[in-house]
Amino acid sequence: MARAGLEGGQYQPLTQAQIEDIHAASLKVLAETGVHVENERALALYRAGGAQVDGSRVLISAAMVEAALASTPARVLLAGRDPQQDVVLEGRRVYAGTGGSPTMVLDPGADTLRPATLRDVADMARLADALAHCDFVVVPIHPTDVPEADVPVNRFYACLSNTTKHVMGGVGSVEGARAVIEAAEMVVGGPDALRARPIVSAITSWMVSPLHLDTGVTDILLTWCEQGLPVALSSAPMAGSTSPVTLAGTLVQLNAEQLSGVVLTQLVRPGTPVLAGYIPGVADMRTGGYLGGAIEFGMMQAAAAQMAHFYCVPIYGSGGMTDAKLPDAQAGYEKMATLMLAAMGGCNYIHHAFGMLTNMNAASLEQALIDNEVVGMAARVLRGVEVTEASLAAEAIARVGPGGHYLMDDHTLRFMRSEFFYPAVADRQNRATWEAQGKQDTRARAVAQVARLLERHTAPGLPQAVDEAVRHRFRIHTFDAT
Amino acid sequence: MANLMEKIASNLYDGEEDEVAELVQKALDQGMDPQDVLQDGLLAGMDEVGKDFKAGDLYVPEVLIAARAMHAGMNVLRPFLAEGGGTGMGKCVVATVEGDLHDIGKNLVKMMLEGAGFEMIDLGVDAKAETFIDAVREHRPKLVGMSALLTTTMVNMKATIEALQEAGLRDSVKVMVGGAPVTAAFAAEIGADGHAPDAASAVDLARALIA
Repeated sequence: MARAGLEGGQYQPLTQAQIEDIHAASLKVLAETGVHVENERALALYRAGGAQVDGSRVLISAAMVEAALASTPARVLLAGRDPQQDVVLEGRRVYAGTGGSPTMVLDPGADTLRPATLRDVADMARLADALAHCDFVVVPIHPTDVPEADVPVNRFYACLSNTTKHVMGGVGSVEGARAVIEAAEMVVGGPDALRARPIVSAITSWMVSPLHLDTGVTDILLTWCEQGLPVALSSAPMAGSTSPVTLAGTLVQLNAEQLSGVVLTQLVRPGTPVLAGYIPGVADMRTGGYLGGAIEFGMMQAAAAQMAHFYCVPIYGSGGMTDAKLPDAQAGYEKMATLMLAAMGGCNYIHHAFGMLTNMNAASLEQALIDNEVVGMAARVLRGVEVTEASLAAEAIARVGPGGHYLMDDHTLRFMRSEFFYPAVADRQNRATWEAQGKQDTRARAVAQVARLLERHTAPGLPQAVDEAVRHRFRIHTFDAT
Repeated sequence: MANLMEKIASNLYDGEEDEVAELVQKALDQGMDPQDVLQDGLLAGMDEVGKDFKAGDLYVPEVLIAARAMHAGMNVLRPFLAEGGGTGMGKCVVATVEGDLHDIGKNLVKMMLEGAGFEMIDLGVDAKAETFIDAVREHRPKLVGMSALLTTTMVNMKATIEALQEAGLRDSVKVMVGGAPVTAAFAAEIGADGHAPDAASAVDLARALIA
């Protein structure tokens, strides 16, 4: 029994005709402007696949796109170590989880950042394991206390030993990719077991927008695809600087970038489970900086989901980012808006949804707890208004009659727990009680809850023999897992 | 005469590169002092741009287009300026460090510094330490700027600074670093002279470092 994955798609910013306009414009970009590729293996694959290659410029035809889409799986399993934590990406099913690779952490209650450690990766993974609305773990932090070459396998180890949910992340290098795969194979009992139930997957930010492939990351992408494991493509242009300033123009370029990537994954190995990674950021025209919490980000994310649905390819996206520096009011409204739009857009795999601040630059545990509530509210919206004979309540209305009340009616008792979302962090008490309890704001309440939660929730750990084998095989750094 | 200077400044403000180049030529043809053209025309225009940008009235693309017009004016003016042939701000070498192809931030800083009167030498992306060293030897800049977006490549900033040290060039330049994951603490740790969190601050930092 996999995790629920509620149905999104209630918010559709694009009409069918507009989807087709964007599709046609993207095909034109691929056929006439093309992508810049220096990676020799990728060039050879594109050439063999029928692309017109002129130096490092690769022009991709509509027929190539069509052929690739035909072999791209519409359904991708991202397994948890615990099968109940599986996520199954298909259609408009929506899942949300952690994400980002900040090198900085905001300690509980603090207002300045400090460099992140491997311990922080483990703590955030363990918190994510405990949070009810967190569906998966995208390695949430980049530790600064581990030698760079050891980072990939150590990040994954810190996550896998602290959660039974699916773990996805950047793998740093081809060697990192191999190490992560080998470690995951050891955890599940071999290569076949991992292909059957992939408990890890890779994010490859292979595209430097606009339309320019990163040679090194493309190597990682090709290596990972050859292994037959699920991969998320990721391109993250900024509207106004690395993609057109208009939302439609950014969608055209981003869609072309994604299609070029999907084509490549299917040329390496037809049937590669790939998530099209549309991350439609915005450039701040007043500074040139990156905006994660812009409302247009959420709008474009929903539109991008429509494009992915049009192609029947699962989408990896972003929601719940903010440009705020603290878990404050700005963080609250930016996160809610971008997360809700992505979820209502039917974005299958929404990362960055837990614990991110200053867009992708900092992680915060209490923010993750607050975000659990944001995602929970969005999930309630996706559940919608259930209309059944029982929910219409005709009998209850007749029973209670004019002037009565429903407080003790059977109908109330039957539905009161399931019909409403009950927040854990929000304060709904009367003002006098709130004052008597110390007038705590949202963040202060969340800080207290994080401490309790981390105290209570023990790391699931790895089976002892597996743990020893992984530690024997790789240089695993300590993080004092509790 | 004052009118012509105002015209240069206002055309620069509007980013009209062809007009700025023509007007600078006209001013020189009329026998005006090149130093006055620089100060009262081009730099006066850029000062206005800077003020309105800081006030939030101008956006980055408008500043960049004004900087491009400044550049066009400088191209006409440079041969007539006294030795050094520039604004006196000096040269600055910039690049995205080895392993990293992300160049929007570096390009932004380059254009903003150009607008501030620096003579920019752009080594592009994926620049190895030796590339920086060769450029420093060749161009003798006052400043070296390094950019990185990736957590995996920012370590190459440290390697570059160490290489400059070994080549005996470290003391001849000020080193500034930037990029999304780069912090002031990291800059201090790797022995850079300064860190700027965005392109506009990079201009302020550059000015401070050469002062």
